[in-house]
Amino acid sequence: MFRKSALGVVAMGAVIALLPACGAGPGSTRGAAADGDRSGELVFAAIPSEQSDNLEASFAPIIAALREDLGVPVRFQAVTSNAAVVEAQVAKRVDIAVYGAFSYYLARSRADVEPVAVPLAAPAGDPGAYAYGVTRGDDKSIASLKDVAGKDVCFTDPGSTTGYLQPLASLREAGVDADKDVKTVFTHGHDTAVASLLAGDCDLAFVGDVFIDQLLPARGLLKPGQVTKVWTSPLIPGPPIVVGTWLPQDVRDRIAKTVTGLTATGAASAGLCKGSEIKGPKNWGRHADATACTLGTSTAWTFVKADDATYQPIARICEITKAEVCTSGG
Amino acid sequence: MPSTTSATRATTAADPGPLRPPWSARALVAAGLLVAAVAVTWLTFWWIGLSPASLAAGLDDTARLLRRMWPPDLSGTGDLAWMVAETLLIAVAGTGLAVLASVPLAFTAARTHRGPRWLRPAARVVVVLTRAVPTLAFAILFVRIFGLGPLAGALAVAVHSVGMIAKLLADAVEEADPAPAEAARACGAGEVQVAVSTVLPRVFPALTAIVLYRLDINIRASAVLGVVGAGGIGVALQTALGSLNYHRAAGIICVIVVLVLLLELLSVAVRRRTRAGRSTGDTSGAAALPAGRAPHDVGWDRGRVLRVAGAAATGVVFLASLCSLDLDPGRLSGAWPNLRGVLTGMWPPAFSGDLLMAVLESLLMALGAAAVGAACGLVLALLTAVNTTPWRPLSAVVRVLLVVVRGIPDLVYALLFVAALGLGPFAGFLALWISSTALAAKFFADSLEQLDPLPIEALTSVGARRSQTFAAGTWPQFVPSFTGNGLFVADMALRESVVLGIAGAGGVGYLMQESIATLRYDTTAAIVIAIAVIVYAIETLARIARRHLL
Repeated sequence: MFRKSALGVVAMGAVIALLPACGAGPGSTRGAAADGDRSGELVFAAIPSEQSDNLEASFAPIIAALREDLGVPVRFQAVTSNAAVVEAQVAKRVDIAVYGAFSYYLARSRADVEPVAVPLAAPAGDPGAYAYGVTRGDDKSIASLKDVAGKDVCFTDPGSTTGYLQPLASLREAGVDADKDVKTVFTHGHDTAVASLLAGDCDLAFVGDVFIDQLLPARGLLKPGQVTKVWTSPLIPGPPIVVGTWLPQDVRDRIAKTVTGLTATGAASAGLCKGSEIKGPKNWGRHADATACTLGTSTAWTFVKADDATYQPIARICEITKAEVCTSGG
Repeated sequence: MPSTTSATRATTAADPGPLRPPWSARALVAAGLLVAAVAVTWLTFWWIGLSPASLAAGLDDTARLLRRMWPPDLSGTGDLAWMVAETLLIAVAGTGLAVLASVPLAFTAARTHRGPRWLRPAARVVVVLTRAVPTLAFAILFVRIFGLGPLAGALAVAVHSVGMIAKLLADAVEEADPAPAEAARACGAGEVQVAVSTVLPRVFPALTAIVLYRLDINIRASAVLGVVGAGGIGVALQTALGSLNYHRAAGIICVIVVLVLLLELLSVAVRRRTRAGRSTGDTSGAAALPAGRAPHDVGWDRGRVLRVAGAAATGVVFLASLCSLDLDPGRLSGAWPNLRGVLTGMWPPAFSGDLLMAVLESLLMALGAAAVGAACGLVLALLTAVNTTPWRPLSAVVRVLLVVVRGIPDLVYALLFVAALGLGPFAGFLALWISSTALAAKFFADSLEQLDPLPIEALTSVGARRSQTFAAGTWPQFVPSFTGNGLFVADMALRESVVLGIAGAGGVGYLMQESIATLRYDTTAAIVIAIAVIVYAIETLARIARRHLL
């Protein structure tokens, strides 16, 4: 026993000693390796949102188009944390990224990045989304934001523009102080906000338009008449495609040109998403039910040019609300 | 092992040639596991393309990020204190409920269980299932049943904790000396009497260590409470990190580290008390007991008073925390349709090739991280445990260091490595490795301290050197719990592999979060089933290994 145990200890020690030597392993040349010199390869990172079923597949047409137009490999990275994407951009290790409008507002003071494009939901739509304030269908006590004082309100979470910051600013403008006049409930998600509203945990819920109009009814979680829309927000800019300003100007221009030149149906006829085509949703007008590709989210029609000024509304929201999430230093 | 050692010595006198014990099943199992661990580690390194050079090259970026986190922002002390209280109440209530459910489950699931045969596998399945389903999934279910609030949070925490507490307690029950139990059984004691009178006192030190550690995990993992609309320090930390407010995050991490440190101190103190009680009982218990059927009163000494007072205080704190959950019975009436809504969304589970690939990838990374983490954790544990540390002050330093490492959330490690390496499997693996190391070091140190000191003292008394005492006295005793805990670290690493998704390394943790965020509960169900199968397989492997090692 003695010797064998000693042998075990020595072997364990050898494992530890060997660890640094493992760098020469056969896999160290694999493309997915996160090594420093990316020799012409561009890294494209995105964060899952409620509107994308399979993140990697939904971005595949955009990646394919970029690869073709730029002539360099583009590697896709799906990441669950906006902080990780922003930090990777601070370290200049992510060249192109897609994240929420508010995350861009936070990132712009830290990383050298600029937005180049923003998705357009429908051919005749606007480049962004709306937040809805909804009440239970049988509750007639709230007709506008002014009536919210003294009620319980479901927000999604403190970092969400549609689910918290924009409603907070609009409540403030309607004369309701969310800190004093209402009871705030964070539900973490748009679907749980609606579920909590229906269960009676709050009297009003703020959620993104796409949940009420499309996603929840389509998944059978919301029946007609269960909720009443009592408020619609001003346009909230959509999640931008953000590129690093360390890329040469012509590369950035070409990225913008490529994505704004794409349309969902055009990508499908160019064969960018063979085997995973979708049917166009109703709000695409004459393109409804046409064969299309997903462009990031399943409902994007195309992209339009954007720049820092597109995201001024977020700065204004932060000015009105002085929300804690806005005032982070660093 | 003392008998083996003395036999070896006797023959050494007659024949001084080199001696080798015969290959036994025990040695083969140990060697096989070791070889498997090394092989898996190599495979993982090959898979992720480990390159220490790029890590070294990126350290500047990590240093810059660390500088941006300094100094910690501790403003709003009143708010912080309130959040700490909220977190503590929910964590204590959840952990306490989990203990109540775990103790009978652990005794049923242990190999020493003598009840009906079918009960044991059934108990094991329950233990594995509660462990495999993530807290987040339970939180979503309980919110549907009980509505938003601390009750749903505490229950989610409780159910998920049962898996770990019951599993580790069952291991401790199996490791307990069977002789007292046999003696009590021979006198005609029933199984419950045997468990309460002989086994429970023996595993009590282990139980307190496990429970305090789970409490520590539950406080750190309280971010999930955000999902149920309850507040708490974890939610504040998540918000701070999500809004890139690193000064605030660093301040909250300081508070969490202090909390975890206090728990660690409590754990050390409790363990010292319970251990002292056991060894004095061993010596004075031999004093003549009154003959006949007269009940024997063990009397009250300082130790017993402290133990009873401690137990009573724990009970009061637990009851107080339960009261804070404010159960609303009115909600229960509408619970069933709500629950059915979620459950039908989960059926049928949506398995796919991608999903199985992600599970395999996560499994590989988790096994690799656990193997490397167990090796590093063993070294740290040997430095920490009071009975193996070469120098007492060093033990305290390493212990505090481990608490700090544990107190920092995975997301921060992921950020630091992502800054240095960019997004990808390498950064994810390193973050997973750090949490596995901290986990393994904690488990190993706790079980090292519960080893029987007699063989070690015997060896020391005949002049064995430190290394000899370790190899012949400590290590043979430690092999079963090293194997069991090591495999458990792998199992934890697989379930905590969410950090891989944070670092852009994909895997099953990422898919789980994506499926919950996109309301694809059928995918969530498939992932949970896949994880449960793997966890059950690891558990079975651990059981087979332990049967040959114990």
